[in-house]
Order: sequence, then C-alpha cells, then structure tokens
Amino acid sequence: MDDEKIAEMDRKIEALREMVQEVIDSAGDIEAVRRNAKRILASVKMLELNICDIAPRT
Amino acid sequence: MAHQMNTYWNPILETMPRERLRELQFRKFKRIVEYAYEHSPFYRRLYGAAGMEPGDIRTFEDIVKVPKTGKGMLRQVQENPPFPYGDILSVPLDEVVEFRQTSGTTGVPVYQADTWQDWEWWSECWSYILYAQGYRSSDRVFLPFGYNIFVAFWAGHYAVEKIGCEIVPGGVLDTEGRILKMQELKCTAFMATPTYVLGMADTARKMGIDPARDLNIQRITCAGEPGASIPATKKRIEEAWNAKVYDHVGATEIGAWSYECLAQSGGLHVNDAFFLVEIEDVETGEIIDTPGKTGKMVVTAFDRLAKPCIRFDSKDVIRWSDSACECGRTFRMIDGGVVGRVDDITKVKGVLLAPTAIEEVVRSIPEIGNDYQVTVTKKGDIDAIHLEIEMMPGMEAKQEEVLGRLKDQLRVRVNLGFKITVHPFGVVPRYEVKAKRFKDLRKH
Repeated sequence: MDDEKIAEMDRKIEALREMVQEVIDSAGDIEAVRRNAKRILASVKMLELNICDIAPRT
Repeated sequence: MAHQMNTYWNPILETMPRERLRELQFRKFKRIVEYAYEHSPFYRRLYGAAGMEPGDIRTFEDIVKVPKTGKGMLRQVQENPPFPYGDILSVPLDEVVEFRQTSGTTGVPVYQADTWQDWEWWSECWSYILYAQGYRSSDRVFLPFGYNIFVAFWAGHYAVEKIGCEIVPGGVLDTEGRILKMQELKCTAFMATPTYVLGMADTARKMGIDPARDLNIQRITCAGEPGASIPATKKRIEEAWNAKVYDHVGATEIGAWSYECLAQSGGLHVNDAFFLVEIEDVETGEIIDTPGKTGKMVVTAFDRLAKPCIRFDSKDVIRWSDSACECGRTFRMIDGGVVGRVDDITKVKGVLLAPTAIEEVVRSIPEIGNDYQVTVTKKGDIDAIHLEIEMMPGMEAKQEEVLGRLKDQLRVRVNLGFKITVHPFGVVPRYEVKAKRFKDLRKH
C-alpha cells in the first residue's frame, strides 16, 4: 500500500476520533452515550496503532 | 471472499522493512517511557533514582540505559496504594475494567490492571497471532479453559470474535463434556496448553473417540508451556489430533508477544510492531543481537497503558534465529520458541541442563507415554537425576529395548546419566493445565 493511501486513512481515523470525542463531550449525563462512545475510542486507538503510527508525517 | 485469502492481519506492519520497523520501535519506546514517567509514580521514582529522564533517550542505543523492571518490583509496588495494584498504576482506578493475576507459582501473585483500551489491545495482539495461524471467519473455535482470574486464553476468545470466527466457550464443562461438544459442533480449532491437549486426546480415546479420525479439528494453538515448540511434542499432538499445532508465547504482565505462523519454520515471530524484545547475556548483561546465542528476554509492551510494561526482565531464555521465515513477515524470529526459564535451567553434575531437552528426548520415542517426571536430588556432594516414565499401553514387551534407546539418546542430547524407572501406564502424575514435570529438590 502506498504512502498516499495510508495518509488518507490516517486523516479519516483522526476525523473519526474527533467525531467520537464530540459525541462524548455533548453526551452530558447520558451514560449510555458516554460509555459506548468511549468503547468506540478504544477501537479507534487500535486503528491508530495499525495505521496512524506509520502514516507519513509532513 | 478476497479477504479470506489474505496472509497477514496487517500487511503494512508485518512486512515493513527492518529499518522502518526499528524506527517505529524507537518512536514507540520513547512514547511509552514518556507516558509512564508522566503517569506512574513507580516509574518516576525508578527513573529518578537512576538519574534518568525520558529526554535522555536520544538514540536506539540509549534504550539499554533505561532501568529494567522485574516481577519482584511488581510484587513490592502492590503494597502501595491504590489497592490492589500499587502506584505503578498509570490511569485513575475507575478506568480499570479488567482484573487478572499471575498464577503465583514463584511467589505472591502479581495483580494486573487493564483498561478497556488495554483489553482491546490484548485482543489485537492475539488477532495477529490467530490470523497468522490460519484462523478465518469460517472457523468454529472451541475454548476449553476455565474462564477465571488468569489471563490464559481470554484475549484469544476476543480475538476469535474480532477475526470473525465463531466462538464456543467450553468453560464449565469437564474434559469429556468438552470433547463431546467439540464433536457435536464439528469445531475446527481450539486453544490449550500442550499438556491439556495431549490429556484431552487420551480422554477422548478412553471414550472411544479417536480425535484424529472422529473430530474435525484442523488447527490447535498452544500456549502456557514450551511444548508446541519442542518438535517431538508437536509431532505427538499433531498425530493425535490430525491437526496443525502452532505455538504462542505471552505473559500476564507483558501481553501476547510472539507466535508461530502457518509456515512452521521452527521459530516464533516477535510482534515487533507492538513489542520490543531484547536478549541479554545472563552472565555479562550485554545485549545479544547475533543469532544462535541464548540469553534472557527483556521486553517492552509499547501500547499497554494501565500498568506499563517497560524493559521487563521476563526470565524467559530465548535466542534469535538466523533464518528468515518463508511467510514473508519481517518480524524477527526466535529460534525454537522459549528454550526455558532462567530459574529452571540449572547445572546437574556440572552440566547445564534445560528441562525442555529431556522432554524432546522422551517424547521422541513413541513407545513411551506422554507423562513423565524428573527429580534432581543431592546425596552428599553428588547430584542425582531420576527420570520416571510409562510405557504406552500394549508396548510393555518392548520395555528393555526402549530403555536402551532412551538412555542412549539422553546421553547424546543431555550428556547426563539418569536413573530411570518405568511405571505401569497411569502411575506418573497427570496435570490438567500446566505441568510441573521437573523438580529440583536440591534447592529446598
């Protein structure tokens, strides 16, 4: 896989993290949202370990 | 369908050129040291006492300057708050969602904390292992272990789910019940210690079920003991089950750091993207980078956060392999798996002895049963080593000829004279999960 495709995935994963974090920030006292969104962040972290850690940095 | 044909869980990391992998390892090592220094009072004290700060790590070669950790330290730090982990804990206690502990065979158990992200990481590491061993979504995987406080195959369970296989948890069933369920559901794979895998085969045969003929198992992942990397033991298991057997090594405090792949090339890959494995000369403490020379493993898990594992002295004895694996992975290989433990490798009559060498000889003789026991004692100033074996049922008439062969092979392979006792089948102690076949009574 070329660096450009890795960089593209990296950007999307970063956007995913931001989006999930925004959901957590706006969840207030809705535990069902906060807890499930935090679990999603753990999965996002696995994407980061597999892709973002090796994405080319400018 | 194309996804079924992939060889790698992550082809980018698993086939990355070595120099890029090394650069990745350095970046990740620095990252975990900085994190631990920032979040763990234990690590801050450890590094402070050594006059070190994370910024001092400027090159890969600086890594050896970072103080090692060991099991004794982990036990000691547990006496500090917060209960029960101590101040090595690097996240708020309410972030911890999983408790496991070590078996405590060498002392007080070490308590292991994991966050949900750590738990995802565990199953990610196991996904690398199982995918490399051919597990795919078409597999129905049986897990015959007691789901309890030991980490054992827990992460294997979640990796099976992540890969998309079907999991059949055989936790509370007894061995007979597990075999019947595996047969009923036509399970294609399972995971257990080598001792238990061989014991299951014995039990199945007593039930009139031949695992090689009557069950549908195609692959078995072994862990917890070195057996699956001992060629004679691997052969016994593969013949008993008519299945491929793959080794994996991990530890509660470390994670799932190594695995055999489909190529079965005589060694285990280190997951270099998630772990840094160093081999240290037991005598001099020098780092061994050349293949073939054994030393003890010092290991770092790059991404485990609740209780970071940095330069942990595992006491596992390993050596680098000098051959590349035909699977195409660039992850380094250790030759023949974990050779032993620093604590187990001992001098008997002045000869350095690894218990795995005895197992290799005993299990290479098909007329000898799976179970055996070795006891080392001292009479006056002289060491004595006693090997107790059993003949396989129906092989009793060959006892004298087999004994001669066994003595010859032990002399060649281990370079020691043994007192050997042959028992009727079923007398030598059986072990359910991990076997303790080597007893050195000189230490007591």
